[in-house]
This record gives sequence, structure tokens and C-alpha cells, in this order.
Amino acid sequence: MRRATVAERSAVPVLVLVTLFVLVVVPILMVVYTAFRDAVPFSGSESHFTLSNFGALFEEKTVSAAINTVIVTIGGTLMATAIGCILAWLAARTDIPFKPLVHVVGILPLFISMLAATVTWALLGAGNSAYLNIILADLGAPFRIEMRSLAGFIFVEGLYHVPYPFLLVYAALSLITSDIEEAAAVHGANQFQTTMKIIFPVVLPAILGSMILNAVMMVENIAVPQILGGPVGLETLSIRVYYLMNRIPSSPTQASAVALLLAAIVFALIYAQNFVLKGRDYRTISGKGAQQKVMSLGNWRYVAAGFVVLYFTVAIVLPMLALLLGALRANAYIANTAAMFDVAQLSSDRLLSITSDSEVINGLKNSLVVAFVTCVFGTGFFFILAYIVHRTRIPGRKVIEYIAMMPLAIPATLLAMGVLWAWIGSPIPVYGTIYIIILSFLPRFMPQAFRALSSSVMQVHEDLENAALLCGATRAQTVWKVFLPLVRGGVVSAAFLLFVLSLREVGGALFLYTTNTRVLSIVVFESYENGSWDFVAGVSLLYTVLLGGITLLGLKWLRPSL
Amino acid sequence: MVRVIDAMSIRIKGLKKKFGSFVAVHGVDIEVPEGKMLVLLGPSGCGKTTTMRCIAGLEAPTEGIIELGGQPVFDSERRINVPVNHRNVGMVFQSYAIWPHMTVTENVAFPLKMQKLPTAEVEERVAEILRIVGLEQFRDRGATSLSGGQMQRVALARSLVMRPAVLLFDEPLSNLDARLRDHLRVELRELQTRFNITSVFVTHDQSEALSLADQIAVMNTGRVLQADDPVTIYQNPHSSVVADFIGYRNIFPGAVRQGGDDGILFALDESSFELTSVHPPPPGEGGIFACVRPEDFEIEAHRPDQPVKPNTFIGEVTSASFMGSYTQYRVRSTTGQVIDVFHNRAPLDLLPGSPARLHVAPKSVLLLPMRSAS
Repeated sequence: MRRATVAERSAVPVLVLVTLFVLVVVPILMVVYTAFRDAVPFSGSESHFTLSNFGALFEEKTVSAAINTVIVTIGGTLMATAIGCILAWLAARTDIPFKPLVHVVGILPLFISMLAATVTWALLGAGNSAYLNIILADLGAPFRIEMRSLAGFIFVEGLYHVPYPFLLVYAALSLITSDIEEAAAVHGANQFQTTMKIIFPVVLPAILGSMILNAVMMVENIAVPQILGGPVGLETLSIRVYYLMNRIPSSPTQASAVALLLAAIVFALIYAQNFVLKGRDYRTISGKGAQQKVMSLGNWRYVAAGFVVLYFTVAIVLPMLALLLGALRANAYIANTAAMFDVAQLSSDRLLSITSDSEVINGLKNSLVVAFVTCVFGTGFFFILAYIVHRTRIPGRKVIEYIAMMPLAIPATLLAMGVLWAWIGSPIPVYGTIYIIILSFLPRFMPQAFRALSSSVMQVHEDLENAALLCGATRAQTVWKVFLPLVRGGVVSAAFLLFVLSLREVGGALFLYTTNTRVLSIVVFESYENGSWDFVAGVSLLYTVLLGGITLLGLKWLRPSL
Repeated sequence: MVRVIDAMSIRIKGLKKKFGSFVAVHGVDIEVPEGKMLVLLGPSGCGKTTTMRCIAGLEAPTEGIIELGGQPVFDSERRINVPVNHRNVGMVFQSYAIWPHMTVTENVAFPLKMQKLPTAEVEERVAEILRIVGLEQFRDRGATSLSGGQMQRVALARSLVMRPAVLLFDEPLSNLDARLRDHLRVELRELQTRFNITSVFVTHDQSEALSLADQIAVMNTGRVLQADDPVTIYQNPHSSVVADFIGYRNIFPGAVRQGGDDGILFALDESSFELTSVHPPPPGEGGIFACVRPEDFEIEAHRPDQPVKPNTFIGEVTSASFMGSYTQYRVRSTTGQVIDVFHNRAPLDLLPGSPARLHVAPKSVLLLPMRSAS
């Protein structure tokens, strides 16, 4: 019957806030600080205040990288949004044949790593010796495709970011009850007018929201400019930061300045989102997923099905074939189409040697350990955050929520740099171990996992917990016996999400690995630079199979977080 | 055999609760004697739920004292705040709060398991209480497969089984349909008296309040306006605000003209009409209102050639709804008032548009200040 003291009651939130501060805020501050210094902190050399780093922003290469970033982001976003909206509408609102499969096609690219996807499109369409160009040549076509161009960047980004608009718009469409459409019909609107005046405005927030989300991911993407842009010197801002860090001699302070520009672009996008979406959240209009009207497409349903098949072929089938071919060819040189499919030229030797390659095995082991630890610690910590923010009246919970969502606006390269400088001088010797990668992945995936966990926490009515407390249960017993069993599905789902995201991640691990601590994505990313395409293709294939397999195994749990 | 619970009184003194700068409860004093049912009645946001959650321990009051059975469970000055799980208070929620991952039996057994009672006793008490609330045949059902009424019975059983010091009801019937609501209300009152549990019941429904309560406390803007037994509060509200909550549908502003032996003359505002009442207005503030219950009007067809008694409005029927045991008329008087009338004798031939006259006896007209002085 005693009251908890002030110290006891504030111990948990203070501990949580300190942890958040170290994980999220310190790395960001390190980059901001470095951008204004003439030497990297903890590097041993004395550093002074300077503005000269920002001169890097006006270098020709940075300016053109910035322009390229904008072009690729806008183009890629428009392409992904258009395809995603069409697929979502077909899956939610029409009588297209094999409807459930349309849904699968819409989300499938989510499970292919952007890195592997880019590798496949380099194989398919980079230069005259690329598979598609060999076929075009043999067909006598007067043109070739070139993925090592801005158009190629846009194509690959647009192709693989379709799942986000698809999921958001599909969800918005399936939440609209037939009532409001029927009401429009009763009041005199025809099908077209209903679609334009009722459906479209209601799903518009979802469309805009997914566009911003996609734009942010494309701005910070590093796989596409590295693999497609590297050979021809075509850069975006994110790869510019990477090159500034990694060139010899490296220019980390300038890299910081450019990273801040990158962050400014992302920040502007997120600000635009808040501005555009203000007062436009129509989600509350939803009923209980009521019976939905389906539009009859008539003969157009075959055209629609053709569109879905085409997207599936281009985004999934061709790349997988290319990866297989690239990994199994004994000889990288291909004379013509006939030679491409010549079974005699195929050999599994190289692929088998890759599976026993110590670099690959080590990468795989590191990837799994990093993903596992990130998943366990992340789920536990982010669950506590979500519980504090949504279930307690602890002062400071708003700050916790704000910091937890902050990494959404932080490009992966910037975060990785900040983590590097924050820990390299710390007395805790994490640099050179895989733990520093985990320290980067935890803040990196915090917003996604925190959001997923928050929604499951909020789904449990507060009265369910109050009832247990009134029955004599302690707070801990309440969480253990009532709360956790009810949110278990959501927690497992978020844990799985964390695991998969960690396996896929490239950007967050940059600058933080050493020869022995490379994760599998980094092995692919780096080996490309060595130029052995059969190796890259083989590792990418393994990587894709691993991700795909794990995702398939866990699809059932992943659903609620999608 | 049902064990009668050792009832405990509830005593609340000077209860205040602020959320930031918003004052939800403004200094409330309440006493509920052992075994009695207090109903907190008021509109949403009046502080009734907050008051109840303070008794439960789900909210920490900003100020005040709460005693259960003479023992303080909260005292802001002595810095006492017994945690919710040590108060032995039962609560039935509007949302039922039935744990969906447990069966009916597991739900009901939960509080006993928390008390670490021996399994045999837990089983015995759960079986007994399920029999009492009529859920024996559902004992192994998942809680989510039950209907709303059944879920609320589970919630009730879960609270009763712990033999709580006091039992709290947070609008437990408002999610149920009308028939079930009536049914469960009677049952609930029966169980409460049978177990002799001191209870607090929160509602915004006046008929629920009148039928359940030993004592009604009408609340508004964080204050208790009047606390009395149902009959007193119904017949003798102290203010027009309280009258409004408990079913005086016709409330007209005006001013007292003159007092006399045969009554007080009350002139309605913006109208030439005068009503006679035998009740002098109690002290208070905020102007005086004439309050009349809809069932106290006598309605009949108006014929211009017939003489008109005093205290009679003349007007035109604007709507007539047959409700079964009575007919509800709305009449707009020639002097500008809109009057609701419940006519509980044989239905009249009064259609919208018909001329009608409405008589009210001077003893049925209450003259009340907007807020009482106390």
C-alpha cells in the first residue's frame, strides 16, 4: 500500500529516453557537427569550425547528382504509383480473373531485395552484351535498351516500388463501403462520376501518402546508382555521399555536408506529406469491410489480365531467369540468343563453388546474426516504446514517439556515417564488430517496427487491461496474462518484419563493416565492384532464394504488418 | 448458498480531478451506505465516469479523499493511493472488456487465480456464479462467440466472483438493444440487492437511473447538482437543469408575476401566456423556469365554441407518434411554445394540423431556478 517514489516512476522513461537519444539523436548530431568541422571527430587530429565543407554542394558532380536524384525520384515515383494504383483497383474493384493472384503479384516485389533486382537488370539491359540486347540484336531490332541511364534508374526504381502504392491504395479501396457508392448512385451519379467524385477523392490521401513514401526510399536508394550508374559515372546524391566517404583520400566532412542536403530533400518531402495530407485522413469513414461492389470489365478483363501478366513477367520472371542464367553460365561471353539458351554452356560448378566460398558463408552467418539480434532487441525495445507511448500517461511519452519516428527522415547513408563517428571513439569497443551494424539497423527500422507495434497495442481496448487490474492483477501480470496474448500476432509480425528488413538492408551497413564483418548484402554490393558477374549473379541468386524462402515461411505472420 | 458480501460504504470528500488545465471533477462529495446503489446521472463529459474511475483507482484524483468501508484508499493530503489491484473493487465496463483469448470459465476464474485460491475453491465459486448469471452451458465457450448480453453477464460474473468491496458499472447496458437492456437491468438490480453489494452505476439514461437507484446523484460540468432518492428527485428537483435530466421535457423561461392564495402567476418570456403554479421557486440563480413533465398535460381536441380553463395552452398538433402504451404529441401553441405531451389513455383522433388544447394542473407546474443555491 505504498506509493512508488518519483525516482522509481521516472526510472523507466528516463532509461528509455537515454537509450533513444544514444541510438537516434547522437548519430544525427555527429553528422551535423562534422559538416561544420575541418576534421572528423575522434580522428585524432584537431578540428575547427568551418563552412568550407558546404563548398562541396556547389561542385559540378554534386549539382548534377542532385538534379539526377530529383529526376529519378519523380520519374520512379510516378511509374510505381501508376502501376500500383491500377493493380490495386483491379484487385479490389473489378471482376478480373484470378483475383487473389493479382494481389500476390502486387506485393511480391516487396520480397526481392532492391540490390538483387538491380543486379538482374544490369544483366538484362546494361550494354550490348546484356541478355535483352543480344535478343534484340538477333531479332534485328533497330534499338537497344540501356539500363545504365537515368531512364534505366527510373525503370528499375519504378518497377520495384509498386508494392507500397498497391498496399496503401488497396487498403483504402477495400475500406470504402458500398454504402457511399450506392448513395452516390441514388443521388444520380453514374459509375464514372461515382469513381471520379467519390472513390478517387477518398483514396487520394493513400495515393499521395504512398508517393511520398516511395519518393523518400528512392532518394536514399544506393543500390541502383551503384550498380547501374557506377560503370558510367552516373551519380545520385546518396551514392555521392558514399564516394566522398570511400574515395582515397576520403572527404568525410564534405560527405557530411552532402548528406545534410540529402536529408533536407527527405525532410522537405515529409513536410510536404504533412501539408498535403492535413485534414484528409478519411480512414474513419470505413465501416467493417462491408460487401463491395465489383465493376464488370467485360472483354477488357483480358486486357487487364494481360497487364498483370506483363508486370509479373517484367518484374519477376525475366529477372529470375537472368539471375539463373548469370549464375549458371560457364562463360560470361554470349555470342547470340541461341548460345544464351545452349544447355551445354551451363554449369553449376561456379554456383557450387560460391556456396562454399568462405566470404559468402561468412556474410551469410553475419547477416543471420545481425538480423536475429536486431529482431530480438528491436522487438523488445520498440514494444516497450509503443506501450509507454500508447498505454501510459508518463510525461515525455510524446518525445519518445517523436524520436522513434525521426529516422524516417534520415537517409541510410547519413545514419551509417553518424553511427560510425558516434561509436568509433567510444570506450565500448563495438567498431570492427557486427554489433556496430546492429546499432545502425536498430534506429534505421525503428519507425516501421514502432508503427507496426503501435497499431497492435492500440487495437487492444484499454478496458481489457483495466479489468485485469481491478481483478487484482499487478501491472506486470496484466501485461503478461492479458496484454501480450492479445498482441502476440502483431508482435510476431513486427519481429519478422525486423528480421526481413535487416537481411535486405544495404545502406545502413555502409562504412560500418570490416573484412570479417561483411553481411551478405554488402558482399553483393562490393563484389560488383570487382566486376565478376558470375559471382555477383550467383550470390544474388542465393540471397534472393534466402529472402524469398524466409518470407514465404513467415508470410502468415508478416501479413498484419504489411 | 449465495454468500452475502460484507458490504462496505463509500465515502468521497472534496474529490477533484484535473487533466492538464481541464477540470473534469470539481469537488464532489458523495456517500453511499452499505449495500446501496448510487446512480451517477448526467450528460457525457459531466465527470461521472471520471468520478467512478477515481473510486476504482484507474485515475489518481488531483485532490480529495476516497474511503471504502471507512478505510482511505485515496487521500491527497496523507499521500495515500492504494493501487487499483489492491482495492478489491469490481467493475463492469461499457465495452464488456471480456478477454477474447480466454474461455468464459477462464475469464471468470481470473480474479480468484490472482488471489491464489486453491483450485477446488476456484472451480466451485466459478461454477456457482455462472449458474447464478445463467451461463452454465457456456462455460467452455470462447468468450468472443457470445452475444452482447451474454458477454455482459460474463463481465458481471467476473466481478461478482471476487466478492468485491464495491461494484462499479460504467454504462454497462448502453451497447445492448432495448429489450435486452430492460431485461438485464432488472436482473442486475436483483443480483445487486441479493448480494448486498454497495454499487455505483454511471448512466446518461434517466429511466435507467430512476429504476435502478437507491440514490441518484445528478452531475453536470464536474459537480453534483442534486443527490436524492429517485422518488424525491423525480417529484422535487431543485433546479431546472436537474429537472431536464430526469424527464421534464417542457421547460419555459419566464418571470414570477405575483404570489397569491390560489397560486403564483408566472409569465412566460416572449409570450403573452401566464401559467399558475402552487410551488414557490426555491432559492437559486440563473433565472426561473416553469418545468412540466410531458405526462402531466391533458390533451384534447380544441373547439373554439367551448370555454377554456385557466392554465391551458391552445395550439396545433405538429406531430403524433403512437408508442403503444402512450401517444406522444408535439404541439405548437398560439403563444409560441413547443410542447411535448405523453397521452396515456385511449388514442385521440388528433392528426398533425388538428387544433388542440393542453391543460396542466397548477400542482404539476414546478417553478425552478436554473441552478439551485446550495
